[in-house]
Amino acid sequence: MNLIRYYKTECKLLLRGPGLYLMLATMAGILYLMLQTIDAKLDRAVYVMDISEVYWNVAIIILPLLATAIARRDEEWKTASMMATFPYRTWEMEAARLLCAVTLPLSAALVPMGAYAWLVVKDGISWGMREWYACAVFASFAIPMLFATVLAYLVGILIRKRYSYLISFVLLLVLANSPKILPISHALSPHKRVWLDYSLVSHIGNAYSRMWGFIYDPAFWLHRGMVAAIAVGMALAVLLVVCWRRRERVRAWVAYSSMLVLGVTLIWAGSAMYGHLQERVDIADANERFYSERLTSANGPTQQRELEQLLVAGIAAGKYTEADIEEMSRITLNKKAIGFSYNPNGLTSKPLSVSHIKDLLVGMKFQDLHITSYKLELELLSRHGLEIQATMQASNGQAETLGRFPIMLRHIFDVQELKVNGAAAAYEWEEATDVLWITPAADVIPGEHLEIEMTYSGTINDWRHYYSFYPSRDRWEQAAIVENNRLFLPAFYGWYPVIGNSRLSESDTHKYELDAFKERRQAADILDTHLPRPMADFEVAFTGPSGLKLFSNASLIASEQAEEKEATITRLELHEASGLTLFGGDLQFVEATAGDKTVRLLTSGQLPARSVEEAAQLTAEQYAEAARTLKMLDGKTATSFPKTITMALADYPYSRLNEFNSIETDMVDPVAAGPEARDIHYLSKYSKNGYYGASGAEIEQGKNGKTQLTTGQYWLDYSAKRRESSYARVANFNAQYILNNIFQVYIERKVAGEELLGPLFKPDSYFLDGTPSQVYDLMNTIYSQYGIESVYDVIKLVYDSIGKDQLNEDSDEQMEELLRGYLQRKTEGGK
Amino acid sequence: MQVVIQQLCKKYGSKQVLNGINLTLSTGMFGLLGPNGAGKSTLMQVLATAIPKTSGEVQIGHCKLGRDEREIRGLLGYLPQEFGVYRKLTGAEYLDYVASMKGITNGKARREAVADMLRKVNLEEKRHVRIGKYSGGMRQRIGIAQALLGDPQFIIVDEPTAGLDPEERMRFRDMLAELGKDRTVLLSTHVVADIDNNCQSMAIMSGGRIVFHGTQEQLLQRVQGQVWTVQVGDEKLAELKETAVIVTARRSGAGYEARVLASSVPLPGAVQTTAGLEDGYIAVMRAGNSQ
Repeated sequence: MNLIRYYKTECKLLLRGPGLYLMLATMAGILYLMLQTIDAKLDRAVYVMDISEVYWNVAIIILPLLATAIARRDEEWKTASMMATFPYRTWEMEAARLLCAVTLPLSAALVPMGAYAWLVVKDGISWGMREWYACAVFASFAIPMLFATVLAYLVGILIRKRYSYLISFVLLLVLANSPKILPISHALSPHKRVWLDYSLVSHIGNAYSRMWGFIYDPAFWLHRGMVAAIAVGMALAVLLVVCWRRRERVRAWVAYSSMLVLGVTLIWAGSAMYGHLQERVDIADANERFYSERLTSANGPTQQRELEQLLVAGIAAGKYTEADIEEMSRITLNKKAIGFSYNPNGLTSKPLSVSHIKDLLVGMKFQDLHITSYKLELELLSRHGLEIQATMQASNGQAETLGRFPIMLRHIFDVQELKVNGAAAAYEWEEATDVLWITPAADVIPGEHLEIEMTYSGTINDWRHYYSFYPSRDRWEQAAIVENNRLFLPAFYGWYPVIGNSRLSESDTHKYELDAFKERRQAADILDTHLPRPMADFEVAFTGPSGLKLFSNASLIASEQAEEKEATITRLELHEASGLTLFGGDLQFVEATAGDKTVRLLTSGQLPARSVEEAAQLTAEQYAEAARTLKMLDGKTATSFPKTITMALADYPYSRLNEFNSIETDMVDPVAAGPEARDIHYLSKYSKNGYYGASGAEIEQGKNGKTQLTTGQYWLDYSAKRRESSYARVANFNAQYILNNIFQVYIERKVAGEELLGPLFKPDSYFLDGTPSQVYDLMNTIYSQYGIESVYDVIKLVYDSIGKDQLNEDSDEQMEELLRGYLQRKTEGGK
Repeated sequence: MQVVIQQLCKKYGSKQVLNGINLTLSTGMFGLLGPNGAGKSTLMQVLATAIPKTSGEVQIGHCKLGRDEREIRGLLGYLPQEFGVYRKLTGAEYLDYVASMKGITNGKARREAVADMLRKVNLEEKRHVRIGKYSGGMRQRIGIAQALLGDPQFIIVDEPTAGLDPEERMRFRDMLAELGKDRTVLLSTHVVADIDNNCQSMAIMSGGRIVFHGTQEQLLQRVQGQVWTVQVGDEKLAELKETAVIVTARRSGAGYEARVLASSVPLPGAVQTTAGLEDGYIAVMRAGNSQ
């Protein structure tokens, strides 16, 4: 076939040039660097994506220039007039040239996929869905490369002058960077920016995009489809232009009709992508409106005064003790680290909202009304639907008769039927909250046993919008999901009723002030609370697709075929647990041990990630090291570090599997661990590496009296807990930072057993604000004169001083003064 | 094969490059003479389907220009005045590529055609050398070879002998004459000697028009008895330029031997001589310019 002969000749013409060798050498150099710097301790796919970003950015601008060269070669080599008179079929010749033009760029586009595959094979990872999917994502870069190449070819065809190279280059450069360089780019959210980004190179290289979940969405492939359709359309346009120039219009209708089909495809893919992206935004917006409404309406000055009066009256009447008030103020939202280190607005602890305290005060009336056992029958419906029949046994431990009582249930559910003790009960949703007030047919007398039967259903596809400085850095995450091949129903989500009226979620509003925006940016993050819950027994019957693997903190009892074809009923049970979490999908349970600590890790097989065994091992090592570090600090093993913990990682549907994002997305669901759920600690790399200000440390003290730490900055928190000073957790940011640094080097020296080998800190250590740090100089002096133990003394001294007069401001001067005092006392022979 | 051109016009914007060309070409060689800028190359490009005509009719065999481009291209062999070749390919590869484009799909036939053509243009020994390493004459020969590939019935060659040494020029003229036995060959040149021996029919172009169309004999008849040679000094030569058309003036001894077109004796001592094509060409051009 002539096409093949033409193609072969085109390749010869292309491959016999020095420019090509130069380009190949450049690409080979980048590849060599990639292979040389490989350190795939991180997620392999993410690693390759990260390091490939530069590669793709270069390749997608440089390599398509070859297409411009091919397109205008006849012009350049003065063969045009002769070639024009040959009787070849124009489409064949142009197709051959286009094929040749795209061959090399496409090969280059597949290099990262090859690198990833090589890593997987080299490390003996078995090929599963996530590996194939990762390969597909990498391979999909061939599409934008195709687009760029055809575009460059089109430029070569239309502009025959020598400067067509320059035009191609500038065009490709601008297109590749349009999401970044456009003045409005920061003001556009990720789901809007993707419309400007034909390659998605920069989009994929950033963690927020992966967390946003774009590359795991149909939207990603629809985007690729759109770009592919445009690329093929441009290729057809090339054929038409060239055929028109040669006055060859044979079968032009094929091209026109193909372009029509491509146009329709483009519109379809575009609208489908818009729908996919907008769906989550709409859901998140609805959530935001829902929770913001409540916050706004309940926090007016009038309500505040009412609350104050209520509290005063309650205390005066002996209704609330000081401990109650203390507990009320102690229950804080389990904040997610929504911001970044330069985003103090997103990190400061938000005081309990007035309305929340008010709710808690009301809810305290029902604190001894507990559900002791649940019988839950779940059935998956189409399109994220879930129907639940819940039968709950409760007892009224209150001293008074109750005419109505509240339960917490996510507001998205519709209650179809509600009975208390066999009689239909009335119910009413509290305005804009996740609280349902039940009014039984008969009052509930003290000590009475209750059987509550509820049938409710809803659509579980819940997205949350997390704001950032710039809209371009905003994130969307799924709080819960139900679909045929995936399930995430964490206990904290409120998918089964719990008696009480605390908030399942809170709207955390704050403002970003930035010069770039004329107006302040109002942010309203929805934060889920991890409220303490009473222990209960669970009996679950789950009806879902046969292929859906189910995981839970509950034990599997049986699995049987449902009456309906291709459905399975899975029965689970759990005793004395503070909550029930269900996961479903391509998940895997792995166990790893480091030292005397064992971590059981539930990980997602859906995502392109490193091996789950490695992930578990790394987590176990972190856990063991954290426990060891605490032991060094305290001189004894902390009781709150159990020998075995169970964690669910990466089961937020769209997150990569590494410790950084685990913390950011708060993926760990304590309830997954079973009865000892509230003792779970998640210890990130920050527990070892110091405080970067990104983790939003919080402590919760549940009713069982155990402490739960939810972030990595465990040792400060632990210290704060010991001293029962919440102040230490939220203030003295700088002091904490410095202390972390001091503590870190202390641990390093202590572990290494090295004494007096150079200063602890470099002489050019600076504070966060850039001023030279006297503190570090003083620490170096203390260390060099009095050894490592003196460093530990200083650490303890600073701890003890936090919140007291010596260190009650976020002041470098106070810290320096403290250290100078210590040094002077040591010099004088004291301690 | 007969090529009939009627009222052919070509415009580039407002510039009229070809203006009402009427020509009829039959089997054999047809010479197209004209000065630079006369429109010869444009006419050839139009006939070779490289550029579209603005108006007029061109019938090449049974094919009509503007309608049957592809068929016409199948009949053509075209060597433009300025042409390039793919310097990264060897002579054999290049001709093989061209043969493919000319529709010789059978591998064996293509190889034989390429070998035959390389032999004809005396490049057999250089078949595996990249064209980039060819001399100017060798490149011209490879250009000629590509034009002749595919057994074209209508060959258009535009200034083909430029850059060739005398021996190659002779060889090429002979080759064209051989081809012209059963094909239509349109040879464009401003070197009169190129068409002197081989082209029975010819035309002269000037300013986008055909100012002469006929046989060599008809051209010669135009100047029969009007060609003189005369020995003159510098001053007389200048005087002669005012009164007569000087075809050539060669230095001879102390003065010049001038070849002059004149209807009567231009100077005392002038000797009537046999008219040549060049004289006819000059006469036609002078006549065309004076119109």
